[in-house]
Amino acid sequence: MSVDATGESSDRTGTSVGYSGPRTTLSERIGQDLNDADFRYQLRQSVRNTVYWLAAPFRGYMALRGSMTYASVFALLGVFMTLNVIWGFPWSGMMGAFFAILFVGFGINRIMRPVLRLNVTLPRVAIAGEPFSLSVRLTNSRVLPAINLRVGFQREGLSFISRSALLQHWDASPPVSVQILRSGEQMQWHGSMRFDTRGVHDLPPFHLASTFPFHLFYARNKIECETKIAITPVPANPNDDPTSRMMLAEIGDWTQQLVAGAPVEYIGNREYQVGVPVRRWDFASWARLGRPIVREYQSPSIQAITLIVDTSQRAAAKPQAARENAVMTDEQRRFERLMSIATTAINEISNRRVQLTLHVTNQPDQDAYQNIQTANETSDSMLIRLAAAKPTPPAAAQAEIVETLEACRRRPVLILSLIELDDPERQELAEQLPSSAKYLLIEDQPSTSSNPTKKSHSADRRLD
Amino acid sequence: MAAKPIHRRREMISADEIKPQRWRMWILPTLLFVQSAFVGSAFGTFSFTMMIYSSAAILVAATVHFMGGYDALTRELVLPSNRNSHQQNDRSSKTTAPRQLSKSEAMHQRRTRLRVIRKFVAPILILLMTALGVLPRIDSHMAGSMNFVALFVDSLAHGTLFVSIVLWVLFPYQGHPAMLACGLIAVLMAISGGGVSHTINGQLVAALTTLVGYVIGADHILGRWQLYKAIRRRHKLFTRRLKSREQRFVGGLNAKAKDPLPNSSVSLKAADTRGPLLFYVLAFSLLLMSTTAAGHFANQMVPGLRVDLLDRLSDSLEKVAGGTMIGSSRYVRGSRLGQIRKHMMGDPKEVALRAYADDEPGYLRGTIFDTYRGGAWTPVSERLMRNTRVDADQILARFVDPEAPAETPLRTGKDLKERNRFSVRKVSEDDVIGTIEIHNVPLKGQFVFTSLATEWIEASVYGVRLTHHDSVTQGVDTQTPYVLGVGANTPQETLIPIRRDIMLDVPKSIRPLMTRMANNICDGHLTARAKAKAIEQYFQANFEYSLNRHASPRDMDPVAHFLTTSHPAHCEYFASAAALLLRAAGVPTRYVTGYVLSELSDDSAYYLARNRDAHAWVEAYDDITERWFPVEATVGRRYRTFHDNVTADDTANTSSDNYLNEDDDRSPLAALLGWILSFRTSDSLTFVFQAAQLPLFSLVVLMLWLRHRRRISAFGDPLEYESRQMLTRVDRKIRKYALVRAPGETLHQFATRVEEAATQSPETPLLRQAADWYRQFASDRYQGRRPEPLGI
Repeated sequence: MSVDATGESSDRTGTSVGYSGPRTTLSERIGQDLNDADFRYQLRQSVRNTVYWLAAPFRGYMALRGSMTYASVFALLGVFMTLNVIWGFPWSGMMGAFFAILFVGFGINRIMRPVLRLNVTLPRVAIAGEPFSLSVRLTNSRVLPAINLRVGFQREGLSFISRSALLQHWDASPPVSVQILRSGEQMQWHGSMRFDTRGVHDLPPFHLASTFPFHLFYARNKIECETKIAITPVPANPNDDPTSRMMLAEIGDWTQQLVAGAPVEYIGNREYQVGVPVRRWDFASWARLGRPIVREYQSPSIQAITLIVDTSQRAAAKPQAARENAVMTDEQRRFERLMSIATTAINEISNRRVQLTLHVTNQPDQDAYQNIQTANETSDSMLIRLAAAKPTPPAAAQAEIVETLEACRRRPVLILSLIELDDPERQELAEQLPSSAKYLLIEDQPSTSSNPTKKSHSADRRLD
Repeated sequence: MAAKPIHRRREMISADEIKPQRWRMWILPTLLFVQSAFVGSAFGTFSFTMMIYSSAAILVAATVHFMGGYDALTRELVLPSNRNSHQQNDRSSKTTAPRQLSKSEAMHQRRTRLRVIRKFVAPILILLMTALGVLPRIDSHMAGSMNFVALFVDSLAHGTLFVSIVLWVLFPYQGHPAMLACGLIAVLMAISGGGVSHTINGQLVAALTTLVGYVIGADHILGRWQLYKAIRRRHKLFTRRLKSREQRFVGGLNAKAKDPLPNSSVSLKAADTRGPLLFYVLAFSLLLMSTTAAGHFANQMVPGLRVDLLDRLSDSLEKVAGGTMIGSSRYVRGSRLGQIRKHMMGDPKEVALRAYADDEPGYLRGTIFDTYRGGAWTPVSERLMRNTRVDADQILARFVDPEAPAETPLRTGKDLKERNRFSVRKVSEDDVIGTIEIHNVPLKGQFVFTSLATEWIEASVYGVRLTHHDSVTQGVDTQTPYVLGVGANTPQETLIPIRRDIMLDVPKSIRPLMTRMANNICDGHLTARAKAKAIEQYFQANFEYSLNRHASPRDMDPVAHFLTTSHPAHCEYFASAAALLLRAAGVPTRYVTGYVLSELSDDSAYYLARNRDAHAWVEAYDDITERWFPVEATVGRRYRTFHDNVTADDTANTSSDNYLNEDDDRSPLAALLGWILSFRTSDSLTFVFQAAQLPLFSLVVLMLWLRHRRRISAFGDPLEYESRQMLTRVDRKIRKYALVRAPGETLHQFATRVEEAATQSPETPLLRQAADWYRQFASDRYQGRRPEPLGI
């Protein structure tokens, strides 16, 4: 799954309105007999046109039904009521008024329906549950202005609260009213959005609704944004529960050891010059010599750490399940916990200025362990990869891990996994695990854990 | 006016504003005032409705005042979550301003109470107010003569008006969508209750005024409703979603995830900062024009449809409703035998018609029927005969134009409407012997009652339509009195074959019986009048009158059954039997229903007909004199009609002369004043709506077009604008050959493509020319020269 590198989408036109040009070119049309393909194409077109026109009344009815407001519903009832003119009620003028409201009002509403071009600006990544701001640029390319608009991601209307609205995994700032957007002009919608679930999500469609004229009818238009956003896991917080605190502490300690473990060697003194990194002033020598002197130490060699996120899970749940079902399964919950801890680990390691290479087992990436791309990989793009992570079968993941370990033989490797190392499915890995690698089992949360005794069990399995 | 330079364009940032706008606060009070006044004036309850309206207005003012203004009320309604922040504010300011706190707290409590009232007490309050509106009206109707249609219309109008007023009290600023529905019902009821005249102008003015009120009301109420409802629903949805969202997070919802998202805003870079007012005016003007057109159309179409539909449907409908109380509160048509009996018995004392005349008006005709089938009479229209007769268009209804202004002044009431005279007869005879001024009861339906010898009618008219029997089906405003000029003789006319055939028609099933009986009865009588006399005498001698219902066997025609069994019956049976017997004897006849006006009012001012005076009789055609004459076959009845009274005619003339003289005496100023005063509200509204519509529409379109042009030309110099126009024109021409300039394509590239296409096309010269033109255009534009248009 790829994410737009800039995180921005290109221009999209809302609906297929306007002239898009004939399908055949002149050279195709002239001097050539209609061959079979042409015939079939024309036949298909004519069938399509026929169906289009035949379905027109039905579409009209559905459009009318979907766009009625209280005002037009009352006008419709008024038409029925004024049909009593045939019994001599003096309502022919009122009948005219109701017909005008219904037909002319609907006509005006359809003619003036908003058709806007859309361009979304949003960040590449966002953390699940955290609001991020985005702006949507809307351009009116029609000759007619768009009047009395409500613009926003939420759909407003009578069926506002529905089950799907309750279960939707995103939320956005409420729509806003715009009086008029003239032909050719632009406006920018500023608002916030929030996704609740991790993953690479399509941005929901942007809704436009015009109630011109006089709130007699709705003209609704939905523009697909055709943009994706990576929603990264929520970083695990040490305060969440004891197990995560323990695991995070372990990751921290391990990284600390790697960074601080190398001896800091004293090389000598030298006179300060502009540009010399000032690590520590040697005040004694400065006083003695009368010139600013700095001590020089050999920095610990920057360690490159490889983080392997083992996404293997036995009962691999369907990826969409979290969105569709209101309740998350235990497996999904465990997997999300792995992702959260991996996110914290990435943040932790990146903060220590240690070069980090991420490998996610469901994303076999040749470059990742050949150290070509990874040197420059930002934590953002690593988080995006976490966002796209999905459960894999344990056997395939083991092969991946072994391969990765071979590629970075002497480099320290941190493996985060949901499967214990003494599990039969990790036997091969257990045998080959080098000393520089740390295998960290992600424990269940205390509340959801089926075996409370496991809590005290050390997660650390460092093998020789 | 020069367009604004780009760098000076303003960027406007707008967000949803729930704060009430000052001018909008007046929308609901104004609309409700107009509505109250209209309903009040239509039903004569002006002071009552105005009193209720004023009380509501005082209540609204008090509510708004004691709740801290419209602003606070709206905020409270929209944002229930604001309470917390409000309380926090209160707490923080506790030490500094204790008095202010208590005041704001009290106000807050009041607002909370209002919300509770709105939630739980509103339905009860609405019911109470509706009862208050409806009960006095029912009471007043019970006191007078009971007319159920009038009672229903009146109560409904007042009930809906009061519901609207209650809703206004409960939602003083934003209103409630139900107010729209209530308003419409109230207006419809007021119109049918006689609020406006039945002429097309009166109808249109009412419709257009309603339209204005409705669109303004809809825009205000639904606009606020959309915004406030969206905010409240969003709050509700957010709270309800928190639970389902919580389990999506492994570590639970954190503070960032729990908070609602901030509101969105919009920034708009616009050269033109004016609002969409012009477009609103345009849409409004379109709605007005289409209302006028649709109203005229409906007015043209409805009577024709009504005749057709009534003919087909009314039999069965009247069969159902004829005997009910509602049935008797309308004028009777009497197409099915037995309906008149039911009408007479439903509410016998209810007054149906009033007539001012110097002599007893007698029999006034309402509906005239042609053909008889299975116990029901139907009028024949051209549409029904079209398939069987080629000369069907000879019985087409005719439209007549008014000939002159009315000369007979009304004897009672103000003569406000402009009345005109039109002739009813095909061959007019100037032999008017007197006039009858008829006052219909408007709620009983649109019927024009005429005497058989009617010469002309003076009424407020709008496109009068007469049937082939010269009875009026459309075009006379029965809201206002109308005057019949009654001639000395019954109308004379030559019966055309199709009409003769229609009026000699006897159903096949009963024809042998009718012929046999007719031959027996009319034996030895040669003329139509003699035959009619014989038949009348036959019935008088052998039959009995009774209002009791006499069921006839299912498989037998009721008239045939009546004639064979001689059972006691009422007028419909006598009239039908006489009509059919006369037809069988070769005399063209028509079956007529209406009322007999013979009762003088208590003060002897006018004659009146009650429901019990409904009657059916026969009119027969005398071939010798070529005149129609009445036949009264009902036992114990005698045909009576208006007799000569020359004095009445004289007085009418004198009074009109006096009137004219008085008019001449007035000074020009007084005349002008009189003209201005006589220029009624509906006239001015008619003028505004009808005469000003098109110019208004054209003006708005012109302004929009000018603005559009200016905006386009403002984006660059005129040269740029012209060149673009030129390019667009050529592009459009070339597009016909399936050649469309792609967005990234340069003019030179496109020219090459056009040239390639030209090699394969029969229209080579044009395409080659176009390709050259594109190159030349690109070169000219590059050098800043004005390009030449494509010379085709």
